[in-house]
Amino acid sequence: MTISEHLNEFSSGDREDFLSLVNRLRSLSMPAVSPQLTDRILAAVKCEAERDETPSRHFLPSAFSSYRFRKWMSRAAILVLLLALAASILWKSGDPTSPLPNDLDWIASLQEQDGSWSPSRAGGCEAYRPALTALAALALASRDPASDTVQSACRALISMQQNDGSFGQKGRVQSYNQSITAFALAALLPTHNGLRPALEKAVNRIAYEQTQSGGWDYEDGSQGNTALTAWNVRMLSLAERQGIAEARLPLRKGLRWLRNVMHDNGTVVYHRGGQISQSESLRALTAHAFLTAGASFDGLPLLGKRIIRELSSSSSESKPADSYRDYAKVIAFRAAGERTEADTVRKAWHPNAKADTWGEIGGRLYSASLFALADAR
Amino acid sequence: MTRAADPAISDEELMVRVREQNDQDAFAVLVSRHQQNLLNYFVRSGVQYDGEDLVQQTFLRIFRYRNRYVPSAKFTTFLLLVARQVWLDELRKRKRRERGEVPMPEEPVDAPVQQDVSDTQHVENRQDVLRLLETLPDGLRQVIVLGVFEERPYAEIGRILGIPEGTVKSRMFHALARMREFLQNDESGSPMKGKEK
Repeated sequence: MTISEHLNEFSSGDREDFLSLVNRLRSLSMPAVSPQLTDRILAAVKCEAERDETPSRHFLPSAFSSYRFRKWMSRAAILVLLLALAASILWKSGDPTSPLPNDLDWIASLQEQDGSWSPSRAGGCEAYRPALTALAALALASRDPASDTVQSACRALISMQQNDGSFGQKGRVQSYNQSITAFALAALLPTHNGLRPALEKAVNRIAYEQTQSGGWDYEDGSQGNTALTAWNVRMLSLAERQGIAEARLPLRKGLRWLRNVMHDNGTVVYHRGGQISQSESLRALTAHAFLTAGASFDGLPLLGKRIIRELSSSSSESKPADSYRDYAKVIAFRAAGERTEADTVRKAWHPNAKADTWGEIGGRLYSASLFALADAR
Repeated sequence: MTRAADPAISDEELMVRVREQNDQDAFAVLVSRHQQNLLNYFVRSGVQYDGEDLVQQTFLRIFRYRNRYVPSAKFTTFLLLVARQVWLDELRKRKRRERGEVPMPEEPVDAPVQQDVSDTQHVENRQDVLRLLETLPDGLRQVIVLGVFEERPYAEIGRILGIPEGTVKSRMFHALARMREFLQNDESGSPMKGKEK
């Protein structure tokens, strides 16, 4: 049966009314598709097809999930427990803030048996365990991406992911954990292809969390904030370059959102329609997103450089220690090709977890990881 | 013109090529043949400005799930089935966001251009029809979109929406009756008048 046949079944009065209604509906004009749509779709499909052809390497060979392996693991667990107990006693006897000759060695020494990092062991907040593990893994990967510590960290990140693709406990901390951890998954993927399923789930989760206007926020009911959106845009750009086709759409929408929070004079706002933010980290992150994630979009790199020009004139020396700000400025200046400016910020930066603005959240692990990451190329 | 672009080759044959050989030329032809219809589907379903994004998502899913395509099935049924899923996902996402959300100004569907009188009437008519469709919940609206605009047989609509053909029929009646009632109220004043008392 079709609508025409169905209309014939009605009484004459109803039939006339409904027929006129149907004709009125059919008069609705439709917008034409944009000329670039076909290319956009085919580019996304090509990306997907290339991904299919990439051979997959898994972290865990099937033997690792065998009964024999699990039995061996349960015995090893007792030994690990004893070692961990001994380590914690030794740890407590030392000073967690004492400087170490090499921050990367210090970060590696804090890795837990399960491959993660516990922020509370270095003065941070435990709720940020996924994000801090991600940052520590990225920092160590800048020295040797194939090292055992990074391999183990990758396995820890996979195990921390929930079925819906999210990381960390529900609430405000989840958005932060999600962005940073997904960013690390995307950055580590080229050397750890076993992360691909976790990254796909994380990207889908981030796409799901995106607001209609294209931003992301910590709170439900908001249309997005610039910091979180910049992180997610940078992550989606990395993921897209790794062949994750699902990243393409949210990336484009995210960039569009970021464009709308920037003023022509190079300043940005934290929320769309809000006051101009004085935060240097916010401006630096936005600039970095335009210069890297927006590199293939007309005009966005120029906007990034415009923000950088405003950033260049401001100095951080007399301001409170802020590893997040300094990290953002170094990577933004580098992305803009402003090496002298980047080196100036880098040299003036002395990680000090106790005085750091984010000390109580991330502790020394946070500042040490960002400090190491700022040197990563 | 590539061989795949030959208009004599059916959608189903093209989709089999995509499924069996990952033939991207064949897929490009399917995209060019159906992207406009798909955009129409989303606009009629209630998308205001992200229609093209949803079209892209639909084609991406079609490609991803190409192995699930059964050659005996009509390609357009498969396409609409996937489009329906994409739309449902979008609705869920919106619903979640709408909880306590402050509405933001949205981008206009049409670019602002200078209009003559006939254009203005055209836009007014368009807005009227969209407003009419907005009176329907998604379950009824989908029956109208697929039955009235797409002119699909009821059995096929049932397959796409996962409901029996008889339900399609009753939903069609209820949708038409509801829109008629809205129009009657609208022509005699605000449809909310009675409720305001």
